[in-house]
Amino acid sequence: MKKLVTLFISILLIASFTLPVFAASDINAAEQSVLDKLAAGVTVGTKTIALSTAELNLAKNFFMRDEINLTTADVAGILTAIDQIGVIFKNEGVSTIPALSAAGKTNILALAKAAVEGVTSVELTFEYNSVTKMASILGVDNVVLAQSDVTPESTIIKYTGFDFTTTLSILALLAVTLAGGVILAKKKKLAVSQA
Amino acid sequence: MAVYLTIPLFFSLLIYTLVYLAIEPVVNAGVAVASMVIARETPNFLEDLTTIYQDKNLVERSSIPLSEVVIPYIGTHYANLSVERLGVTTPVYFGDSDRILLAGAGQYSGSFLPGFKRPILISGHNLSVFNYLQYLTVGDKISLKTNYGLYVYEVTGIAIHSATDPAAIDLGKQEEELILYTCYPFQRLSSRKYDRWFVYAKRISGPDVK
Repeated sequence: MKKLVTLFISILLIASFTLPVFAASDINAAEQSVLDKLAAGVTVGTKTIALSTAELNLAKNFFMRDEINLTTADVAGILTAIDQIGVIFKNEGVSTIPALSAAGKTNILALAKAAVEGVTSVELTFEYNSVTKMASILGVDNVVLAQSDVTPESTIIKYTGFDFTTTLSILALLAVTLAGGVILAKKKKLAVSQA
Repeated sequence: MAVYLTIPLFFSLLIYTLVYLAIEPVVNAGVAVASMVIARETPNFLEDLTTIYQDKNLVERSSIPLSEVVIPYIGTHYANLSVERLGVTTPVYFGDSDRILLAGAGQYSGSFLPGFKRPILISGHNLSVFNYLQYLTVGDKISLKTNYGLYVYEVTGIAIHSATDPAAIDLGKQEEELILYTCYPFQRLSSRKYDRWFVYAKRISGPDVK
């Protein structure tokens, strides 16, 4: 058994060191045009919908990956998708994702998926996890190249604490209830030994 | 007559509910372990976590080319963060999902890697990997060692902010600021943690990525 566990761990370790890695590269002109468009955003009424600084940074990190070197043709599809997403917001007259209809949100996801998977210079997959509300761009071998929380209430700052208050409060309540029950049973002489 | 049925039923349900709520966290963990044991397929523990970090001796340089830097995949251990004064070292992963934060500290992927002269935002759990943040003081040195360079930062400030306070971080800053944070308060018993303990540090050595 010990040997089996050792073998299993060895295989896992070897697998972890054999994943391909790529050096970083500069953002090319085509990729920069996407960043510019994302930064400029779309205007709906008096409001402009654009990516936040953090989301733009995320996009920059994505484009700096060496395996990501998008061509003008790749980028054309992405730019069109951004325009189409803008039209969805304009048609619904809203400026935030939570305010969109369910159909609008579904359409945006479909457009994002089509744009990402329409890239031909590199194999990319778009994934949206409806449970965790995470949108991811995956590369070859399903490595995660970019990931973002798309819940309306999502913030950059994560929850990083453990809290046992609820469990302990309920356990304390149980203990008090049980103790109360025992005292009451004694007072009422309910706990009588059977002869 | 009905009282003999309804009262015991009511209290039974109440007690069962309370017991369930109390042991739910333990039961969930047990179910997870059981499902792993009886799973039809071999569980893949490295499904989304891996490492590219090599603890190697680095030659001191003032700058390094971008081509020597690897932008890690999400869930990749790419650096080690150390505080020599406290004798602690923490693995740093790229990305900060719940799964990553169970394994070590996680860098928000909308912040930059060391050497890019831009903010670096790293989080960790307050009872485990980042419990020591409470013992850091202004002037402490924090090291971030990657495969391409050793970066040293000096703590310039410590603050408590609400988790939703936009003033807590500025990821648009054009300077390299290391921002570490964890949930506050540090105690196990407290209500849901709405505040965060932030440590801010400026870079004092390490190569620029060009």
